[in-house]
Amino acid sequence: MGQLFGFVFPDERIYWQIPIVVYPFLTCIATGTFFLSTLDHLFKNKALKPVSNFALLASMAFVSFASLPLLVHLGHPERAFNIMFTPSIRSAMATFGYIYGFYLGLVLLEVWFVFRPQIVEFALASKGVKRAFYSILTLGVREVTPGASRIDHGIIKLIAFLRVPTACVLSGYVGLIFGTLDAVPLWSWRLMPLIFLLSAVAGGIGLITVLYAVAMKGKGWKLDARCVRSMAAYLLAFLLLTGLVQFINFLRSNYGDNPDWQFAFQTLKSEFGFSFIGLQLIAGWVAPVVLLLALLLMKMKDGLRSALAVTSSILVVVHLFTFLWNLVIGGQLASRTLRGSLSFQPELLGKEGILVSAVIAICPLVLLFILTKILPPYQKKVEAAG
Amino acid sequence: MRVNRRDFLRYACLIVPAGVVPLSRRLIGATAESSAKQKYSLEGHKYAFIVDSTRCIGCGECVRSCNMENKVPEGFVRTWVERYTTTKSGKVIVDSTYDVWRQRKKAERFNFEELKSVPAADISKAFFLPKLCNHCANPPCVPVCPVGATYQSPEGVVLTDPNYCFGCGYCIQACPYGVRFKNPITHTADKCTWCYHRIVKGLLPACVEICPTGARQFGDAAIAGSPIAQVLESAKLHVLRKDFGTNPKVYYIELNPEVR
Amino acid sequence: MPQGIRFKDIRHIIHAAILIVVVMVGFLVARALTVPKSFGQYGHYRGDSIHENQDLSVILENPETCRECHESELKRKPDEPAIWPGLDAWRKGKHGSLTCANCHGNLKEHVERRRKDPTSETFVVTKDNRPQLCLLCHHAIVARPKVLPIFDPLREEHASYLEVLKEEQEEVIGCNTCHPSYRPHDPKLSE
Repeated sequence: MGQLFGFVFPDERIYWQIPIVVYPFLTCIATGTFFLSTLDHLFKNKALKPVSNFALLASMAFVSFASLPLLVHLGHPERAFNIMFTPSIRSAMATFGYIYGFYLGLVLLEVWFVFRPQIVEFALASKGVKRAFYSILTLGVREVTPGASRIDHGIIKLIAFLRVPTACVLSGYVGLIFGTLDAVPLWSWRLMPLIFLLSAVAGGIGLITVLYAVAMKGKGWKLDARCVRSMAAYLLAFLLLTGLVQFINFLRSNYGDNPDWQFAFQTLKSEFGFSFIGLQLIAGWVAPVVLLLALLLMKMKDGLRSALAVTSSILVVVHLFTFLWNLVIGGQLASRTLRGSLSFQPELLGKEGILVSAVIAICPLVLLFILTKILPPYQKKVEAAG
Repeated sequence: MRVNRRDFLRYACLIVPAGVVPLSRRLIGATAESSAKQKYSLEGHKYAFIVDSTRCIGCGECVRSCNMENKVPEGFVRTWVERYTTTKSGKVIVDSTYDVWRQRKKAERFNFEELKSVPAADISKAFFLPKLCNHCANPPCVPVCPVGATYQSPEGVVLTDPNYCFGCGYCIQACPYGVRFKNPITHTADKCTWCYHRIVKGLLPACVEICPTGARQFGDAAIAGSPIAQVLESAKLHVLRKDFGTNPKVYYIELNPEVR
Repeated sequence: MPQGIRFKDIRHIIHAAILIVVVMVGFLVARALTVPKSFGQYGHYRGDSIHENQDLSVILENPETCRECHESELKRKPDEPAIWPGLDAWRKGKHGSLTCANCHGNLKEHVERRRKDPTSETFVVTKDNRPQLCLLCHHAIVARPKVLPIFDPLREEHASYLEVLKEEQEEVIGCNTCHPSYRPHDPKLSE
């Protein structure tokens, strides 16, 4: 338990710790990365073709691990399925369980349909264990007829179409888990889903830009300039929208008659000043907006433009994380007594400590690395280059 | 603090025995005789809890007996007593029985500490205020539970199910009164139950039973003419944080605006 | 679309659909097996939980139980000593609003022992005679109503208690040496 200032109720603690920051972070990244693959699969945005399948795999990697921090946080993880078996209709968390399951299913289906030609190809070409593995993935159909290819294309479009509302609702429901709690003034806003959705898309695009740059660096290939520019434009648009909605939230709270919110906001500023003003606002929002405007409006070499895009993308991911950190943990700092605050001292080891959460946050990246080995998303690129 | 006549009369009533206090103590007992013979029915109860903060002397017996009765793990409480001290300059200082525990002194006792920060001459007003779960008629903690592990019993008592709760802590966040906590032994949500296991047996909640001054009163308002029904009808009652629309069933006789 | 859909083209979709159905049926079976029978009996919760909550054991004995034996001296067997000598005085006295456990501690153990074997050696309830017990209510702390008799540390007779309180000694003469607990208002003692 952290240090205390003033008077707090005896049972008040910071009950939601780092895993509950990592959980919406992973969910947001998963829904944000989907956006890029949707633009290609659904709207035929050719500029994003190079990253679209990669983004799809990233989405799958992140959504697969999004519920792990929740499990770690639960007092009884073995009862986790109660949330699916006896969901309470009025609980945003219970609804989230179902939407998460549906979204995970959609992503798995989409990955399967998109990569089926490759899976079949590997199943036919490889030997031994590898062959068995890919054969299982083919679900017993080891050919792709032209007719099937045409049908699959339609199905991919249908899934991508379904995934748009599902992803919106998914990240929105994470926001609603917080937004429906009137007892915590910094969370209580029914439009919190909107902030989550917009931040999620910005963060997702940001992370994909970074990962794409890392992957290309690893392969020794050049970044696709048109693709980077297109992603930067989307990034800027969603960053501005996020800022706008956050600002509206600030206005309606700050100028409303709400002493609870005023107290909580003061507490956040004094306790989490650096991560709120320094990281979330200046480094995470103002800096990338300036950088993105510069790289989009000014003439510069492709190399510099890519470097700026990657830099601002890293900052946007920082923005997403600090936004969630300040919201989830910062929101719990102010006591319900309005006469004191809790102070947060994260522990390093332990179930809800930094180490476990860091490992969980890295897991999707490891899975993504494995996935890119199993289902190379740059296949076409190789052929085109060769 | 000068003792005026009104104050004197008020406390005279707690000092003079066989006044209101023993009466209310027997209020459940009377129904117990009849209902203990029959099986307890979940229907037809309207429990209410009345806190008369003017009678609280801050002995902390309620907290001790609650912790014993409900085996509340160390570091947490299901009920507590707050002390509001107003200085002549208008500053409000709040502390609770719990602060002594927090400083790891006399762990079992839950006494109030000497208020060292304020000289006695500076104090204009001071009072104690017991707190516990409000068993809201419209509880914010119940609908948020994703699995149905916290609920309102048919009598309107808000209970938890430690054998079904998976410990997400959502209900703890939803409570505006901060009365819920995560039990570090069961790893599930825990809270005051109004000693549900006692009241169904016709007994009073432990804190009411032990209170030496009758600052805490409990009863079934569905029994016409019962003392609690009379108080509910006649007295000026207040609830905590009315702005949340939770409709608490813990009523306070006299509630100062500085109380949150 | 030049030609119609052939079976060969949708075989993989059928396989995927079977997999999905299997997963969903598995979910429903798991749900049917796991959800407790009493769930939904009274509402969206386990009905058995109500009974589990009701069946928790009572720890703090209530005065009604004490009265079973200690109500009056009439129940006393001729050769037994008076078992509650101060009863009437306590009820009429200024401590009449207190309950047994305030001073005697919880008596569950005593009650259980006597119920099991009434002829067993009388379990002497250990009173906590230390002044700290009385001072829970009678110590002068901020917000405590002054109409309660407040322990006056300046009184000559109380001087030794101050030392006791400072050092938290265990062994000490109780307040009730001079102020009998059942008759704290005894006029003899207020002199």
